[in-house]
Amino acid sequence: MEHAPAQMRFVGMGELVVSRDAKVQLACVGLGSCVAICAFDPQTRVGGMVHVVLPVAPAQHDGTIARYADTAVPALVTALRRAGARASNVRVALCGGAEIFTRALLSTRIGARNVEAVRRALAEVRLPIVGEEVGGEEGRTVLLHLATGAVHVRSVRRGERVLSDLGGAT
Amino acid sequence: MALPSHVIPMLRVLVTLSLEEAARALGAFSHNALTVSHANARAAQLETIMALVPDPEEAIFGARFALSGGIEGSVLALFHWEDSRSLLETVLGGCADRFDALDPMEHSVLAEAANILVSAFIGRLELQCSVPLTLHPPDIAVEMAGAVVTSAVLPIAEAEGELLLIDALLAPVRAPGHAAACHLFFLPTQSTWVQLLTPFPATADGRG
Repeated sequence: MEHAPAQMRFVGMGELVVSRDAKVQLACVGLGSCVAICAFDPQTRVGGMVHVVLPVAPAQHDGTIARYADTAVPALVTALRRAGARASNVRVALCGGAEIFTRALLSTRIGARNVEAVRRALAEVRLPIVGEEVGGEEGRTVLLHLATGAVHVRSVRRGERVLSDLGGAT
Repeated sequence: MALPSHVIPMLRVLVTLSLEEAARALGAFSHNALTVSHANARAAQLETIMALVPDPEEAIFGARFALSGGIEGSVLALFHWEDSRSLLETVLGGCADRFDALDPMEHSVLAEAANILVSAFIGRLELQCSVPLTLHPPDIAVEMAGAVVTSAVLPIAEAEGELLLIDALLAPVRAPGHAAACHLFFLPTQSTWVQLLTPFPATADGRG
């Protein structure tokens, strides 16, 4: 079967995108310490991506809830449900959370803290992580193909590879 | 962030003077006369800063310097591939054909170029502001531009929210506005940026 060329939908920093359009690929480009959460319901073919920037929302912030891990995950679940996904079917892959610069003077371990915060938030809403490529010192681009649920990742030194198949059998 | 709009033009003038020194220093090192083709100062959100990165997936050479003393923060120097290759060919007589194939000597030359650039900038700034500044050894990365910039900016953005961003583009004199020689981002912390205004005592307290 031939697939029409996919439409790339870039997910910017602090942005959440959910779609059930099989022609769309969601992409977070040039991730460093940020974390991309890729979510997909293989039955309804609803998928979503969040570009998490920081681990915890401050007490007062400007309403960009998808920027912070602790507020982004509940918002993702709500958006997936509204688009027709069943939360119990949704599977998740994570990508990012690197530490590009590691010198102690400015190191705040944001990459690792983002990953920890995302994992904690996903556990609270009981979304299973079925694939991840996190940490290290490598920048990454991640793509979620809504036609299939396939998640691909690419980097400068290792090129493109399959990270996970969120549309596959559980 | 308490950044009165009337101080923005002053900051631009101030940093442009320092950047001209930096352009001279890097130009001498690379045997390629450089000019400050763009310099700006603004209050910016993280997303605004990322919009300055034309292609977040492009491999880029980044050097992040921590700054302490009277003004704290970080300075990030970015070299694109074409500019890095040109610099390496001038200094070493040749180089590998792509970033991820550079050898330690080639990395070292790019790090030294970043060091010369940023040291000249900060040295001149220190003189102009009459505040002691310490520039720390750089963190170096050859990585996706988006990853390099976010990783440099996030530690400050997490603590500060809105940032004072001073960004500049240096370009060859013979083709200003075209092939950029490098980008430079300077991010002083909220608690210390006001030290930049010491050359303007009448307005340093925001009373204009």
